Amino acid sequence: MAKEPLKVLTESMFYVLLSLLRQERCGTEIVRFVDNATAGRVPLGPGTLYTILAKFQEEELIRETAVEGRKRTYAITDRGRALFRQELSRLKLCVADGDREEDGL
Amino acid sequence: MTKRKKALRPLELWNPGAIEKWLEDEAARGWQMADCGRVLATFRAVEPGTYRVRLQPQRPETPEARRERGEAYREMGWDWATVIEGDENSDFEVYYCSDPSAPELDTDPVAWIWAWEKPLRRSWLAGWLCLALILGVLMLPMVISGKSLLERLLNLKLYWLFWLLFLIFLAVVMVRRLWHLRRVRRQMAAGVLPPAGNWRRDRRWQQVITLLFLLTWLLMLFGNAASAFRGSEPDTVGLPYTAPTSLVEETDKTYWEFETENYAWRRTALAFARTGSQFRGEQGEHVRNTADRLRFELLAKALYRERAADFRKGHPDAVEAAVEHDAFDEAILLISGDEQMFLARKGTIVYALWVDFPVDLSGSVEAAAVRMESMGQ
Repeated sequence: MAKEPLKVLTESMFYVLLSLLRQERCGTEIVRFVDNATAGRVPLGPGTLYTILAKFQEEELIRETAVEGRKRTYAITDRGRALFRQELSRLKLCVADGDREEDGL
Repeated sequence: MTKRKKALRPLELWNPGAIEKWLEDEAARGWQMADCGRVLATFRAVEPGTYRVRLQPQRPETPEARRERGEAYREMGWDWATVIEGDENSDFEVYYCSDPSAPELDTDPVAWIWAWEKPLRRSWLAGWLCLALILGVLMLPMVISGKSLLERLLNLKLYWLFWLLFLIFLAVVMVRRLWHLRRVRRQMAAGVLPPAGNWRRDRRWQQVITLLFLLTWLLMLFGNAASAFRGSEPDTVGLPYTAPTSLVEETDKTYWEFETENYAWRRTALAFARTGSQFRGEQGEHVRNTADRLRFELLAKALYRERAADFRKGHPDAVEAAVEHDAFDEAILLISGDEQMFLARKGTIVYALWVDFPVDLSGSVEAAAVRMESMGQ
């Protein structure tokens, strides 16, 4: 499997980036944010969360900002913001396409 | 004291779903994996119940980061149990969850594939490397010596024969691993999570392989020790032999020079006796006797065929004449110019007489028949 830069985000990945848009958060805070924001619709398991965080760090979409005791906080990078916006635009287009088709029914 | 039990650890880790299911079934019976060694895993008694068990590849991180992650997992209902050591530094953490309301450990298939991609790729590469090494070890002696596989096998001492078996088992394990990994990697490349498969079949396969490895290892140990006591004298009693002086009557022993480099006299794991000798006459003529008493008739048949094929290969114009004699199971006379080879087999004995000068071999055939017939009785 060839290594490719991320182009499309899954729901979990999208919400992890979203959770870091306004403020830095630690792992458990990200889980709580996603749970609240989606009213439990998008479950974020700990295995998935830490795999995504590791991959995002590797891709320089987020960075570790502070370590307080055992608590590590993460912040989104400019690259992460750009990818988030790109994904948001893609989703908006999807929604617009869907709405247009539905309106035509 | 906490009750504990031991079980064979999972050897091949390319099918995490099957291992997880096995551990869930063990947990339902009240056993949780507490430690995992190279051969055995230790289980400790827990309250029997419904647990979810998940394996996760260990990622490179600092001990602090690992602790923080472990704490987050615990907060979300997943308890770390132990680490299963994989190959090529790919270890796997084992997590248990007894809370049915807790989210799954992995909720995103794409992230799951990210996590498993690297260890499975390592396992794939390690499998190929291991297979190449095994094939190299198996093939190299044949390439270096220029001898056939059958000849190599027949010359193997007991210890090396068990080593060979061991390597063949290992090669089978590697081929199976590569076969399954190929499927899993294809599924992952298509974004599909590989199905768990049947853990009972996997365990049975593993038990058989472990038993075979153990048996081979014991046989290597005891076989080697036994051969030291038993000695390694070949049993040559009754094997046919044609003296060069009997072929050329006007010669005596001083006429024929014994060629030490073409002398063989040994007992091996698959042969009670393997003998070979060659004499060179003063006029440059040669007489070679080879006689083998093998352990299995199947091998004797194969050796007979190989000897005949070797002669035919070296002498495509060879004329063949079947030798009809009740004393032999099969016998043939191959003639090419001045070269002749009389080849005969009786049960597990294979005899070949080769000369490179014109001579009537019928007397030798009759003598060999008498000798080999008496062996068969």
